[in-house]
Amino acid sequence: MKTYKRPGLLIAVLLLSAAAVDAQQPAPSPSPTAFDDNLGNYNVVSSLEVGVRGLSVSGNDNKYRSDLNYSNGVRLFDSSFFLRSREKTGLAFDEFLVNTSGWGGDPHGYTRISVEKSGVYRFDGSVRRSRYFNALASIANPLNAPIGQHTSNTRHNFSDFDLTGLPENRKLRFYVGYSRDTREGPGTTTARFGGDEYAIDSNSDTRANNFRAGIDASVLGFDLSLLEGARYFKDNSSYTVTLTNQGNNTTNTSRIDQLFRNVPAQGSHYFTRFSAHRLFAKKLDFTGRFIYLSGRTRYSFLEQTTGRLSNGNLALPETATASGETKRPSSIGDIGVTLLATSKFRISNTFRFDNFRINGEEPLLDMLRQRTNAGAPLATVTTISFFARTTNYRRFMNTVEADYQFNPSYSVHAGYRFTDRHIELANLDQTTTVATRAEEVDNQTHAAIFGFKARPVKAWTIYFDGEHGDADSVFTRLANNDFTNLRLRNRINANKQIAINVSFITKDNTNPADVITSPNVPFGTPPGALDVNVKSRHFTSSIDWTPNAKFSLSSGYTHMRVTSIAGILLPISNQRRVGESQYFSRDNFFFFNTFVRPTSRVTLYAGYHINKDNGQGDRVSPSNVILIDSYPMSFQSPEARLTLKLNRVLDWNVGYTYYNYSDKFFPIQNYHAHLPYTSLRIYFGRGE
Amino acid sequence: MNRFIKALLICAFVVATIGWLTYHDSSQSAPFTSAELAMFKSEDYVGSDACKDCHEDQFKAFSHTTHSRLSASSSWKGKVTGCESCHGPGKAHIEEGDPKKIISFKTKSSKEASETCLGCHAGKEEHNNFRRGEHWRNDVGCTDCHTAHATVSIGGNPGSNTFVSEAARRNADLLAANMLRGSEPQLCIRCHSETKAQFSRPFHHKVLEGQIKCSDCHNPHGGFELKQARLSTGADAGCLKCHADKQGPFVFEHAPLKIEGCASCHTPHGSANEKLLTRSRVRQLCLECHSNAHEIGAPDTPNFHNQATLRYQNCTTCHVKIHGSHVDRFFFR
Repeated sequence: MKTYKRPGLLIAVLLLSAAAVDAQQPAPSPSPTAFDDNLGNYNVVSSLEVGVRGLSVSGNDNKYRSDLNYSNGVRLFDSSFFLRSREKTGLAFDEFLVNTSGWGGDPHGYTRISVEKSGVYRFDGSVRRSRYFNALASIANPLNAPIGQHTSNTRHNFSDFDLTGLPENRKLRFYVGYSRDTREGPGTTTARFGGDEYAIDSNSDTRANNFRAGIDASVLGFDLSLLEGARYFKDNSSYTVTLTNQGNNTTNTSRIDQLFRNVPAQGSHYFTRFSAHRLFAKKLDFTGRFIYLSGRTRYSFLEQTTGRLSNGNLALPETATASGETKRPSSIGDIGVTLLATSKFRISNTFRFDNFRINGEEPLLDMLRQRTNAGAPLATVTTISFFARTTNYRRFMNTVEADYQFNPSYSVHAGYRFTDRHIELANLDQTTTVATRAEEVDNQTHAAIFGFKARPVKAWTIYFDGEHGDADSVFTRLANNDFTNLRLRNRINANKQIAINVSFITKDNTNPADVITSPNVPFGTPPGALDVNVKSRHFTSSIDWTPNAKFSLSSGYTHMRVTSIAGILLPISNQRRVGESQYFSRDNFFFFNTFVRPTSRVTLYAGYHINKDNGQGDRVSPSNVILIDSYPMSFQSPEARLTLKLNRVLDWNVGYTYYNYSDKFFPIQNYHAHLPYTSLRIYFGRGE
Repeated sequence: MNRFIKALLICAFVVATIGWLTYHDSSQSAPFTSAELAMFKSEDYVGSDACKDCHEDQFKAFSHTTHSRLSASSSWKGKVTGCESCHGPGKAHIEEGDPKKIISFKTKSSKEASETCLGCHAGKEEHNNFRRGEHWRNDVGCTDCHTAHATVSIGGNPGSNTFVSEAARRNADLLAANMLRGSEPQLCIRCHSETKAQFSRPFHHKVLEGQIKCSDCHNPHGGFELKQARLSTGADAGCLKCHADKQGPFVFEHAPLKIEGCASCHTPHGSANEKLLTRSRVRQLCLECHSNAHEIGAPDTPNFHNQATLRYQNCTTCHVKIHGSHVDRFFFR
């Protein structure tokens, strides 16, 4: 597939821009840090880049849109508008800053606003938008459809607004905030009916409103903070089938003629956060925090399905209804104490307690009105069932740490973390029979923390830290994870022109899964057959070199390597067999960004990045119980940009970005995308 | 366990008592040690204007910061503000021209320099745990990311038109507001360089594009959460701030959602796998838990889920509402 979208518009703007270049007047080199333009009592520094981008995609457009989703047309590339009082303080504000990016043809856009009047208020706001597109091939079951059956073309909007009153006041501060996020748009998902699965249409419609207000006060030497908040959530998503759908198995008898499902849910969360902090005698730092959250969701459920059942009878329709609610109160308490024993030695203790309880119930009424395939009426089948679930969770965690500073160049730290966790699950399933189940588990973990910072010479800083111990993970594996995480980072600043970064990160994770005696486990399964071993290795190096104002180069290479071997049980032909799940990632990432300014008017930028994951390499599964998985792919993008300074307030840009994606799966999802663009950047407040 | 709680309460009591007995000042005060304060006299302070003659650039930049405006705030009346609030009294330094007669941070460790900042900034909820945070532990201090003098440096060099680069103006402007040394993602990536590769993979949170900031999910100033993660809606995982539809509570919750956390199945920075999953084929992700290797919660994969057939290899075709469902115990709808 190859698409060309509006090349004429792009060419027209290019020609107009070229004409503007021709009419330029000579000007000295830019010095964008100066504040030369005034607006009343304010200095103004602002720039705005508007332009147009073309788009040509050859290959899999769905994959392109799922990955990138840049579109063609007019675009506000980015803008910033910064006002700063010429005096120390302004009348209404001292500083006003607006940043925007990506509005127009970009899938991700944002606007951020910060306004501040010292001593009076500070306001921070952001509005963000994402156009989320997902229509990828199903690599798990490519025979179902050319693309997967879970797709979406939704629009997410997020906004946050926070106002702080008396922001620098030492005794009292106020906070008021509001956030909203919405998600809406069409998509597809799957539903089960009559022993088959069907791709159905979905329409997402969720929205959440968040309110918060708080106060900080200094009382008796304590810094106290109280925040009250609420979130109200609504989900009005619906699911439909309007045309007869034969399902994934087109050879069986079942089908859906029509389906309507709606599960409107309304959630509310109320929370209180209180914290206190004090530094006693400049020796003892104390912080305490308590959070209580009360969450509740009320829902109702209606599903009507007409179609043919697996036994050949017709459903006219099958109607299922339910309504109920779920509650989740939770609380977190934290106490952190740091004793600054000497100017070089500190010891701290952090204790946490958190718990929650989820209680939910579902009374379900299912009525199946049916006829035979020949049209003879059959008795309506009514099923009443009731389900209830309870989860109790409680955890203590305590961390003791100490650090010692030998001198400004060398320091060490060490610590120990302990957790104790208790989980209870209880089920009640009442259908034609009543079944109950109650489980509980306790587990404790221990971990050691250690590390150092060293600066053997002024230009070279080494950071090393590690953790070794176990982590609680009872739901994913039988025993706690045994883990060892090590990080070694080097920063070399030879001079102000060169910065080099070399890092090495390793994570080893082992789950010693004791094989539980169970009818589900094949007889004779050896100990350790279900162990999990995950190893990851990250090596990163990068260099930033800026020898002068006319040239800079930033480049780096990262190798990310993941090997996961997990013993699993696979049901094959009604028999569980011991097998292995193997996952491999061998990702190589390289990038460079450079710019050069050959003359005072011309600047060239070039960039390139590539992710190439070799995945499992040439490993092939020797049997159907060894699952080998990876995602070998290559994703690269060169980019170039030429900027011509036309005059003090205007730059002309022309650029080109190319994306090349390829993988080895069926169906083929490879694509090439060409994105030429041209734009004008308009400045206010740019010095000469 | 009761013994553990008792021991903890006793420790807390002892610590609180020591703190109470040794208390004689609040946490917000001039950032000097008691000994240093005792040495200083009010006539040793000369005011920030006296610094201007020699340190013109710093003074000019500093004069537009919130720091420089504190003297106008009533709650700071009678307190030392301006240059001398951090560098100490300047009279001797000016009179004798001796660099040793003024507090310089060039020779101080990151922690020592940070203590100066924390003298005023520790009281805010955001900063309360800096002395117990990962950055503190690894000797990364305030001035590694912030500059107290707020040098306004608006990058004028062109960069990528999709990624936010150090040179891109869009974020450099933020310097003036937050006194950062650079745009936020670049500052973090400078040390956490592996994240650049992660955020460049086909599926990623849009951090390099500027839409999301590292500090949206992590609190760089420390915190009680592991990985310095932020919480949302009071006590829930930070992911749920934007992914509100996963917050629930649901009647039937997939246990990892609230107990093990989102990272059980997702790699938040970036992945080649769809939906940021840790495995490219979903059945492996599921089978690695649902394989009789659990103590609680994860039921075994039923026998009829014949993995030799394609139908049962894509678990979420049937188990659609895998995060949680109000109406189906198997997450079917």
